[in-house]
Amino acid sequence: MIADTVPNREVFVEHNNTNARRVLIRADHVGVSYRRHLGLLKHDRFWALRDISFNVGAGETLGIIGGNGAGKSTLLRLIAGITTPDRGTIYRRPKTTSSLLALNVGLKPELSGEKNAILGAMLLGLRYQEARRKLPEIREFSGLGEFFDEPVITYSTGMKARLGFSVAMHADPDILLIDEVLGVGDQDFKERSTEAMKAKIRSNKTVILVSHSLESVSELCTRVLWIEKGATIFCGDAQTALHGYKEAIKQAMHEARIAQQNKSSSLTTPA
Amino acid sequence: MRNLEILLYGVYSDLQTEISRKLLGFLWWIIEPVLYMGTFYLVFGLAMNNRTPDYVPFLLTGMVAWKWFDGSVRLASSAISNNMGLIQQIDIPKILLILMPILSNTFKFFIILAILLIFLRIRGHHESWQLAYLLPVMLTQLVLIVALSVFLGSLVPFISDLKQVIDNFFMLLMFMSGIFFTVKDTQGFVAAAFDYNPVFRIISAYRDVLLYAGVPEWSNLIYPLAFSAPILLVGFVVLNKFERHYPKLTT
Repeated sequence: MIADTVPNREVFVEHNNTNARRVLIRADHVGVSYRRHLGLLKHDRFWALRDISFNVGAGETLGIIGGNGAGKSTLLRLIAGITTPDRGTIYRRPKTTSSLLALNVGLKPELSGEKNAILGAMLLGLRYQEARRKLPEIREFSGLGEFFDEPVITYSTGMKARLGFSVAMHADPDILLIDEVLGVGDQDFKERSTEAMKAKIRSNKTVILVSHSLESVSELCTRVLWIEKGATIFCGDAQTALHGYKEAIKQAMHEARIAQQNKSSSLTTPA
Repeated sequence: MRNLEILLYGVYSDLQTEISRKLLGFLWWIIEPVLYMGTFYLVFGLAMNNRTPDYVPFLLTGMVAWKWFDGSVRLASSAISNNMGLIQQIDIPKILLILMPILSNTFKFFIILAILLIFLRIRGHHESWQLAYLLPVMLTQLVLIVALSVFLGSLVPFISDLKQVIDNFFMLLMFMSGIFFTVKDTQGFVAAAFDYNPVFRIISAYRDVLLYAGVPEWSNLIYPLAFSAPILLVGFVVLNKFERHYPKLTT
C-alpha cells in the first residue's frame, strides 16, 4: 500500500564507509520465496522478499521498519542464518553468531521455562555449563518467578516474550535480533528490557531491531532499513528514514481519504 | 561438541518431561510395552491357539526389537515437521531433531530389553556370556533405524502425505517381519520376501542370540548394514542440501 505511494521508488542504500572494513552483514538484491501448495502437484511461488539490499557494520544499531506484510520477519530469519536467499547474495562475516528473538513462541512448549532457557541458550551458542551458570540471572531478569518452572505452554504471550528476551540477552550473541519485544509485558519489564538493550547498544553490540514503535526506533537506532512489499525503500540515516516513512504514511492516508471522497461523491451524484 | 550437548540435553529434558506429566511417571515405560505385547500375546498366542513350543519367548523377542524400530523411525521421520515452530526461530542442525526421538526411544528400549532378558533368564534361555553377541545385533539395528529415519525425515517435510504412507507401510512391515510366525508357516513368494526385509533379518539375529545357538548368523547383520548404507547416504545428502530450506516450508 505504502510502497506504491512513495514518490521516489529508487532504492537508496547508504554505504557506511567508516565501518566498511567491519561489515558484519551485507545483502545485495536478496529475495526469498515460499512455495504455496494449490493442490495435488500444483504450487506457485510467493516472494516474501523481492529485492532487499542493506548492510550492517559491527557495533551498529539498525532499525527495520515497514508496514504489515513488508517481509520483516522473513528478513530477520535470513539475517539469523535460519534460511538462505533464493536469489541475490547475503554476506555474513564468518563465525558471527546471531539470535533471532521472535515473540510469542516457546522453543519446546511442553518443557519448563528453565529447560527452554538452557536449550535456547545452548542453541544460541553457549555450552551446557555456561548456560547453567547463567540460569539464575536469566530467571531473575525474566521476572517470571515460580512460572519459570512451569511448562511454557501455560505462559501468556508476554511471559514467553520475557523468557525469550532474557535468554537472548544472556546468551550474548554477536548480533542481537529483536522482533517487536519492546512494549511487551508490564511497565516494569518494558523499562528493564529497554534499559538492557541500551546497555548492549552502549557496549558496542550489534543490534537489529524490528519495531512498529517509531519512538523506540528513533531513540535507539543510528541507522534504519525501511522496507515495503519485500523491497528496500531506504537504508541509511535513522531520522531521514523515519521522516520519509511518516510522510509516506501521511500521503497514503491522504490518498485513501481522496479515494473515499470520490467514491462517496460518485454515489451521491447519479449519472 | 556443543551439538552433542544439545542432543543429550534435548533427550534428557524430553524424557524427564514425559515422567513428570503422568501420574505413574516412568512406570509407563514398563506398563505401556507390557500392555502392547500382552495384546499380541492374547491374539496370536492364546486366541489363535498357537502350539509352537516356546512361542511366548519367540513372540516377545520379536516384539521388543520391532517396537524399538517402529517407535524410533516413526517419530524421527516426522521430527522436522513437528518442530516447524522451533526451526523457524533458531538455526538448529536438523539432524539433531531426527536423532533426539531415536535416542529417547532407545533409552526406553533398554528398559524393556532388561525386562525381556530377566524373563528369558528365568526360563533358562540364555547364558550370560551369550549376551555379548547382542551388542553387534543392536548396533546393526541402530544403523538401520538411523538410516531410515534420516532418509524419511528428510523427505516428510516436503510431502506431508508421506506420513500416512509410512504409517500404513509400517503395518505391512510389521507382519512381514516374522514377529508372530516363523517363515515355515508361510508359502511361496511371501516366504522369499521375508529374506529381503532387513527388519526380519535383525529379528532373526536377536532370536539366534537369545533363543537358539547363541551366535547370530552374520549374514543377518551384513544384509541390513548393506541395505542401510545407500539410504543413509541419500538421507544425509538431502538433509544437508535443504538444511536451511526446511524453515521456509509451510505445513
